[in-house]
Amino acid sequence: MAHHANPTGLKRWLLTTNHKEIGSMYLLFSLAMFFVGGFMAMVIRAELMYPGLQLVQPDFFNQMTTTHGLIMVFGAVMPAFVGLANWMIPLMIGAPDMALPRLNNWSFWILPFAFGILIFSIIKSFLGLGAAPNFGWTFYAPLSTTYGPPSTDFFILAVHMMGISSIMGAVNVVVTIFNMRAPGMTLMKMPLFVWTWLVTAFLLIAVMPVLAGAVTMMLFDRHFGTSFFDAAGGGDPVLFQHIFWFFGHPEVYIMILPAFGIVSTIIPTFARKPLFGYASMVYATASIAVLSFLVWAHHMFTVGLPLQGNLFFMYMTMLISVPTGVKVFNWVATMWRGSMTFEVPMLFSLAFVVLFTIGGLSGLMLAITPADQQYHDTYFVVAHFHYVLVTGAIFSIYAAAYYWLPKWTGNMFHTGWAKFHFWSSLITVNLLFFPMHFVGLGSMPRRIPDYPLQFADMNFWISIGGFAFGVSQIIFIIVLIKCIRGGEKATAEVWENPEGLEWTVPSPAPLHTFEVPPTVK
Amino acid sequence: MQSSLEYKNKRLIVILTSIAVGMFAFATLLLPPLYDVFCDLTGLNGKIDLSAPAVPAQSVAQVSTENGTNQAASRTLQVQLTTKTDRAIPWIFNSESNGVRMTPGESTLVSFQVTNPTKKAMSGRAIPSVTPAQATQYLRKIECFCFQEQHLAAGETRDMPLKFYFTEDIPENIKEVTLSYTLYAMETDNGSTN
Repeated sequence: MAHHANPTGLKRWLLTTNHKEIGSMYLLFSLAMFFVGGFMAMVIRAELMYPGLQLVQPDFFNQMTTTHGLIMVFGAVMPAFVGLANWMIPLMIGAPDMALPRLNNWSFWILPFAFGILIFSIIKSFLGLGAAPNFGWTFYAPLSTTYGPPSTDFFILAVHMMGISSIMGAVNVVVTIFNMRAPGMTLMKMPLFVWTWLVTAFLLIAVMPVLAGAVTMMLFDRHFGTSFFDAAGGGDPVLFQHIFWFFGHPEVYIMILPAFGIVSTIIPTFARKPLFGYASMVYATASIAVLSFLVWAHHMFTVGLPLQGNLFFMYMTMLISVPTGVKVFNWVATMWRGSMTFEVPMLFSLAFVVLFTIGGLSGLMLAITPADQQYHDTYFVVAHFHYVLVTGAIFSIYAAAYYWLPKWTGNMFHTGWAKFHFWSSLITVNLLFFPMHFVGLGSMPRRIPDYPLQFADMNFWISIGGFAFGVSQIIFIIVLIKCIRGGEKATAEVWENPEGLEWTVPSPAPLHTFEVPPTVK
Repeated sequence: MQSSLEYKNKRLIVILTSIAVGMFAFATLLLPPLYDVFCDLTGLNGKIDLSAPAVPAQSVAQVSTENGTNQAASRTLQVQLTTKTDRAIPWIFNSESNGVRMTPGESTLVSFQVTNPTKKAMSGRAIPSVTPAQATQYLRKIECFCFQEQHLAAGETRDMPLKFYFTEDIPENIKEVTLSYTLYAMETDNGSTN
């Protein structure tokens, strides 16, 4: 760490190799993308508020659903977790920084360019200069190969860049965790957030290259005359789905395992009891990761797999609910007879436990092959994955932000505004997503700009919930700005006897911490 | 101490990067051929071996006489024939009849008609697909236009025969089979569709 003169202004952020500064950039970037993707969701809900076509043309609607999904998955949820990993993993394991600081800088700075390219294609479409990607975030062939608009090539480049960024970030996390732990911190003494991130990083290293492979084959099919996914040349579009979901299902766990780690960190603090079943949490995380490679075809129950295939993937999928159930049980057991208080991070964590479990249960319903024939590609699926991703992943990110914000800024956030943010989000998110279960069971298909009249009332209220949830997120911006500008000074511990090395450094955490490693007993 | 950490870091980076590169190679180089082999063995995706006729016609007759037709004759299969053309080829492609009713073990001859309404000679090839996919492995084609490329002069019309049968061991639960043919343009200039 031989700094001569710290660069200032823009250069400070462009050239920084400090894990805290890079973490902050990741988090702010993901917040920005959350609002961009959220704006697209508002366009979708505005169009769906009433039956018939009002605002946008079907093709533009498809571009909105596509880019909403891509930006939320790769731009909002994943960078937010990487940001938290950057900030917290070195602090939690007593390391001075990430193991590969310059790689860390590069991983981050690829992202704005990747999303710049993707957003550029949307702006281009808005100006009437050719469609943005419009084939859904799953970009199934042949929609994305034979029928993809020219901007598909922008999309391919953007996905490659996101993938490289994620892989480098994951390599950094693994090397940091394996080689930079403070003396005495054995693997089984690591905080669960570190554990879940270690497993997530391995998932990223294993499946992001598969995604890169899928888009590379797409590129070759589009321009270089190959026929990986084209039946005319002996290929098979179903192969695309196999490859995509071989990436896609572990990806789902990439977006939820760090959330499990966050909730496992926060609940013990506010229940004032150590986490129930630490070792079982670690094993459950690892077994979820292993099983995630064996369930991909449950996204493909309707493509005509043989009976044995359907049965295998159905049973494997149901099996995942066992380790997940272990986790939910452990969280509840941690709270059991604890001295619970309900600070804002705890409120978000509690909402996570309840609402994520609802999403998990609807997932179990979808796992049942014969039932899935009806649910497939309906709003029931939309309800399911928004429960696990919005009230799961996003709520856990909010919980983490509120939990560590005083450590980051040195100031306590305004509890009144933060509670307003929580309650407003909680009510509106359920108004937004719960009725989707019913319209889905009534077989309203997903990704359509118009729908039969019997779904009109439900969709009206879903849209009202959507707008209100969107507006509620602006409250978080207010809390954030107020907290960065000032407020009650936070102590080093911030909360009452929280566990973890991050609470031994002062608030705000100085730029350089643990230059002399702490000793863990 | 510092140098040993550097060594450990480097070793781990090499391992992790090789996993990433290996997974990329697995997805692009290994998975597509593996998938093809797997589908060939199981007939899962309804793709048919286009290389050659499966069994000569005489042995079909032998099979049906040796085993006796009493069992097979008691059931019939409804075979539906559908045709499609890829958007890259402006040909008119139809089957003579929409479907045939046939007994497993007995071969049937059906005819398809293809017209090239354009003003230039073109080549095309029909790719078959079978639904349900499980029926694929019981389908035997004695003669099929799908075995070779079709070259049609401008305005030419051609009748194309298909002679096929289903083996007698086709499972009882398969009562209807759809044979779907999609006609694709052959890009003779770069030969990439082969």
